[in-house]
Amino acid sequence: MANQFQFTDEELMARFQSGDENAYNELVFRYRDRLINFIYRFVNDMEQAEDIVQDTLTKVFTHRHYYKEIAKVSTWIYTIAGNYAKTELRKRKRRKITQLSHMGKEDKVYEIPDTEQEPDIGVHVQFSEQKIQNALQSLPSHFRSPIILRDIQELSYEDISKILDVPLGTVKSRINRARQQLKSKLKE
Amino acid sequence: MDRYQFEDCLSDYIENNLGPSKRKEFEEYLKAHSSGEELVDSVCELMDSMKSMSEIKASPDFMGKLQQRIEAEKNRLLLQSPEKRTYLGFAPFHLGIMVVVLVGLIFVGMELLPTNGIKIPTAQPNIELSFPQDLPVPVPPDIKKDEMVTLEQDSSAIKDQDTKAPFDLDKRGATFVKDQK
Repeated sequence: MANQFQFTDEELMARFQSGDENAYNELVFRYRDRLINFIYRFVNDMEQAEDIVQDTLTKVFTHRHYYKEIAKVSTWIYTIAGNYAKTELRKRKRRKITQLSHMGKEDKVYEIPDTEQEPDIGVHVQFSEQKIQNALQSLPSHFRSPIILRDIQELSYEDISKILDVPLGTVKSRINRARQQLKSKLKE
Repeated sequence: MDRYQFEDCLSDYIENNLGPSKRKEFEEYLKAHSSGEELVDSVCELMDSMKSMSEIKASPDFMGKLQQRIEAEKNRLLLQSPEKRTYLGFAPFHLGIMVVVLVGLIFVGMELLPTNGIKIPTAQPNIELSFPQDLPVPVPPDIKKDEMVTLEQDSSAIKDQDTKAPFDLDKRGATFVKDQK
């Protein structure tokens, strides 16, 4: 397939549904980095982010016939990825609770001190990026996902509403509140 | 506009989604409260830094791993044992049991139904009537005996002639006048 870029996502999906695996490869090529960005910002772990994106893209492959052209392909793929990410967060929470319940009186959690040197001006941007990433993790997940989709992924409010299956007004107010919470966390 | 309303409209103001009247109110609040202006500036700055966050790329072996997963998934689907396959949401064994039970119920139901004597009433004339066998034939009091004799034949002749007769006259207990004589 020489010129895949002439096709929209929906056309590629239709071709893939009718058996063209090159169309699937093109969809993967279009979405893998976007999805990794979204999931990494959400779960804050690169290895897990890649795993989740792989699960997502595998599901797109195996469940291709479940996609109906009433929604955008991007919305469908982001919804799958978001659901996997939420499941991962729930698993983590459960693991944390189990670990804590197994912890004895003598057990203590030691924090490993950061041995890295203070960032100089050249890496200042990266530092602030790390700060934002940490602040994002402290947000509740129902605030975190819409702000990532809006301010990092630059999706429209309508698309975010469809992906998260939340009314448009709720999405807007969550993003507004998430921005203010994030700002105050960064100030701390 | 109070502080809560101001904070509610913050993102709409930054993204230029406020209507003219709301926008005017918002800007009046900003003029009156310097903290409001600071908040707008800091949220704008945050949004800019989030937009300019570095893009994370997939690792070089991402596609290879994905291909492996897809192949594994394909094989899993192919090798899926027949017990795991479902028909109408049921495992074949359970579906078989359900079909047998259903056929059995239908059979028993049909056996329980009465086989004769039931006719659905319709507008057609073949309505089945039943008379008790031993009742005496009523003779209307205002009809003279010679008026009743209109048939010049007995019942056996009629039975022989008219095989299409809808009534079995003997069974119904009907008696011909000539027979009575």
